[in-house]
Amino acid sequence: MTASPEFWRAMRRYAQDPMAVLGAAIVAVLVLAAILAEQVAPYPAHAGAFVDFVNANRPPDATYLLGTDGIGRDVLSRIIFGYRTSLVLGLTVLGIAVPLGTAAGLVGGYAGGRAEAVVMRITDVFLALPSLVLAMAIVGLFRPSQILAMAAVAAVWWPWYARLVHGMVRSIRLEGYVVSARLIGASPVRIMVGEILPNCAPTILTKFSLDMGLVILLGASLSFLGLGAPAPIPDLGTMVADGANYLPDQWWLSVTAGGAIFLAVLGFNLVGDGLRDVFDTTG
Amino acid sequence: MSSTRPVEAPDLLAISNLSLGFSTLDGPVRVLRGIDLTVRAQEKVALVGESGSGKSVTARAIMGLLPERRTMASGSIRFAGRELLGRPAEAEALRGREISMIFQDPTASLNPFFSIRQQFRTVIARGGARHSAEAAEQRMRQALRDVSIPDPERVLGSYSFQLSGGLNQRVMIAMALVNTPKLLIADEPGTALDVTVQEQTLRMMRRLSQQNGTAILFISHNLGVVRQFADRVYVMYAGALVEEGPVQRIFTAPLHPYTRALLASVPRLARPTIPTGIEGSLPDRLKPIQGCAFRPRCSLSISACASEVALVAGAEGHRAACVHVVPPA
Amino acid sequence: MIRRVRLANVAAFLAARVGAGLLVVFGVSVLIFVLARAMPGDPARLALGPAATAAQVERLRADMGLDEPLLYQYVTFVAGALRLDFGTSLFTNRPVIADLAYGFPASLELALAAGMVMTIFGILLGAVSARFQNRWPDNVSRILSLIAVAMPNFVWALILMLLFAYWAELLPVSGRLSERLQAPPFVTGLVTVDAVLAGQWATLGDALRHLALPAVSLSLPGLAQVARLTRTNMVDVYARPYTEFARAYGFSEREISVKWALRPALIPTFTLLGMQIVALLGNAFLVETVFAWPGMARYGVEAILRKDLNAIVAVVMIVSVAFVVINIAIDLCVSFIDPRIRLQSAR
Repeated sequence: MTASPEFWRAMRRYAQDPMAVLGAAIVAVLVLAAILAEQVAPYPAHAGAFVDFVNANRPPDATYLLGTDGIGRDVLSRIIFGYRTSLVLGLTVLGIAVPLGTAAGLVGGYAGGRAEAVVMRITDVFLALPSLVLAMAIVGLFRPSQILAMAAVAAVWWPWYARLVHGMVRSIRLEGYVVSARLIGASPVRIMVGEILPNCAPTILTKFSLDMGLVILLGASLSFLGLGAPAPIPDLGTMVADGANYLPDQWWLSVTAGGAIFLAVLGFNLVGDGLRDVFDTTG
Repeated sequence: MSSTRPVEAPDLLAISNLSLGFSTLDGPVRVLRGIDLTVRAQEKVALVGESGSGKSVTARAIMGLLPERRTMASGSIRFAGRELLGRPAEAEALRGREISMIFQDPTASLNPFFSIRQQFRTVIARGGARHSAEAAEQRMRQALRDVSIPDPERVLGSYSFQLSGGLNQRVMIAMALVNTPKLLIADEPGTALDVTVQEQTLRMMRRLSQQNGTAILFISHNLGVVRQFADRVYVMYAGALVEEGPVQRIFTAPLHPYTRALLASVPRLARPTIPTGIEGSLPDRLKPIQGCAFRPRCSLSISACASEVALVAGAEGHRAACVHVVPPA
Repeated sequence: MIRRVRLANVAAFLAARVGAGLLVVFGVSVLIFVLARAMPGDPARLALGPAATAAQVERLRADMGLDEPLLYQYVTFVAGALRLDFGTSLFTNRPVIADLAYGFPASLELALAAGMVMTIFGILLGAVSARFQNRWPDNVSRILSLIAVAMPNFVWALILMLLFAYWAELLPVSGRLSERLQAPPFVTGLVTVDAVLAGQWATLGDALRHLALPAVSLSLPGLAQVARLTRTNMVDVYARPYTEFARAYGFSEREISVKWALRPALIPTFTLLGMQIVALLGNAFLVETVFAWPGMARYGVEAILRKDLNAIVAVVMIVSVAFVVINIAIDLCVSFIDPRIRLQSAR
């Protein structure tokens, strides 16, 4: 794999932005922690249905760095496993929404006419509702589960990509290289995938990074309202909600879990901002 | 053309040894390398070069319009004896009063969210003297009539996007001269417009500045226009001056190979051959320049060109930075 | 003459927006109807609970029209919705619209307050940032924005509650008005406005104190987005030829930042404000829950948790109508500050 000089130039520019580097570091640490949760969590057993009433509601100390919850589980361990839940959610949702939305946007933008009108009107409908409300309605009407939450978030997320890609396709479909590809008889699919898509890739990548943060946030909001993963699964939003019942005395429960969500969203936002700056100026 | 004025008029603008660089994400970029340039009162001076040679940056440095924090500058810019370089407050005090500027694209330079009247009124208020609303209105109308706009009332009530490029150009000239500045900087005026409109506006600009006694620093890449317009010419290449002199000398006896190449690339109706462009391109601005910057594109380059070349004085205030120039005995 | 042309332009512009808005509301009605009918399980059984007899369930099914063909059901639903009749709540046994009429003003008050805080302070922060680009006010505001955007709304709510209500005891923990106070006579349903109209200043103060934390925590993420957006737009406007022109003609930097560069920058900010307000409506569901704010959004959350079908549908429809109305209002504002829309006929 030989990366182009532009790629290295972009990397150099990225590395010069301290905030972007900070974001990349946060994301790297969180992803590693989530993957190696069994190894890095101080009490891996506390991620499941574990009870230790003797040590319940302990404030942060040397044994339990972020304290323990109402039934004596180590908050730090649950946060680390909670990151696994969040990241799986983010990747799954975007893994569904990005290809779906990109395809819809490509087809709508390239084909024009009726296909375009249909795609755009459908996205209008989805974008007219707050993603949280629509996702809540979908999850609420069915049965709360982790899979359903992911499906619901993906269902509200794809229109954003359809819009984004549609806009880009509209602006580049009349560019010289696209027109000449059409003139030499390349098939529409080939033009879309071979000529147009690579030009959209930097923007999609930037949005992907920003959206990882936003999807994690939306997922946490759902589980905060009790519409996320069911009980024993460690979930940051659920932890905030549970902790809220112990306010103000066991304040660290909500604050640490909330801070954990914040850290993840912040990390992905910083990476996204950094990528946008790099791609913007390189063209 | 207008050589009736005494050449010994005092220096209005004196730039000496001006060097300028920007810090960018890709590293520092040197844009100007030791510029010396003067404009005397009521004089018309042209600054010529390819795009990217540093002409516009020079203009903005005089106006104090460059972003302070990313700009590294040394040397001196004096206007009527006052130092402007590194003193943003001094430059700001002069802008719109003593110095004004005409930009390349008049339509883009007028704010599309405010009417011409709103912008013009602010320009007039900047002139210092207190005007009643009625008096300001009168001045605006007169200024617009001066640039041959027959219906000032309609133009004042319009927005830039409703007017043609030529009309916007005249509006800008009217705004530039309404406070009778001592120096007008014209940065490629009308390049965005078609040739006849460009001609008209240039003539208008010259007439009005002559009436007001305004000196002009005229920035252009178009030598044909410069010949009709300027008293003296500076030729710039890659951030440095390569030649300067009275306009007739530059056109009849150019000294620097770059100036000659530029002249050869001017299209003329009287000449049957298609003008030759200049081979090659400007040097990479991220890399330091050693010796003559034009060397890689120059057919006359010799080994001596690799070392520093200073401006050598010729006859009649004519100077050029080329090893082939032989100073008169 | 000129004025008439302008109004005609604005009217044509508005008509197009209203038409597009109606299409959106229609689409939402189809979407939510399909979702509601695709729901697994029998809504009648759900409403009556496991103890009900089969006959009771059957009767409720017939009452709800669940035995009719789908298209007929949809038409009935739309016909009812147009008369603001969304059926009976399967949980409170009252008309859904009556439940909503109670919660709507509370939500409106919260959303208006948060929307105003978001817009005013967001634009202010963004404009200051852009004017002092890369200097300390910019850096401070950008860091604050990053924090505000990344912190989930409900975490903001809990942290502010912890700091200002529990620890500092400056502001009330929850609710809309202290229990010792009577709500002012109903005029608009907005307690703050009604208190002003009735001249009850103590009530106004108490209502504002209750409103402060929910409104601020609801506004924060949007505020940060508006600030970021305004900053970006304004930095862009600062780089335009017309800003350089303004500087070259001696317009003062202060005047540029509050007038000549601000207005052009506000237009893209305003067009995206719609998005932020939608997000704000969504986040109200979280914030109202945290602060026990007796609004429509909290009612919606409860409806979803109780699978109260008619209530869910009604809340979703009202949110989508609110979206359309807000966006038309924003477009109208934009058309008045942007002469290009006002004066150029639609191309």
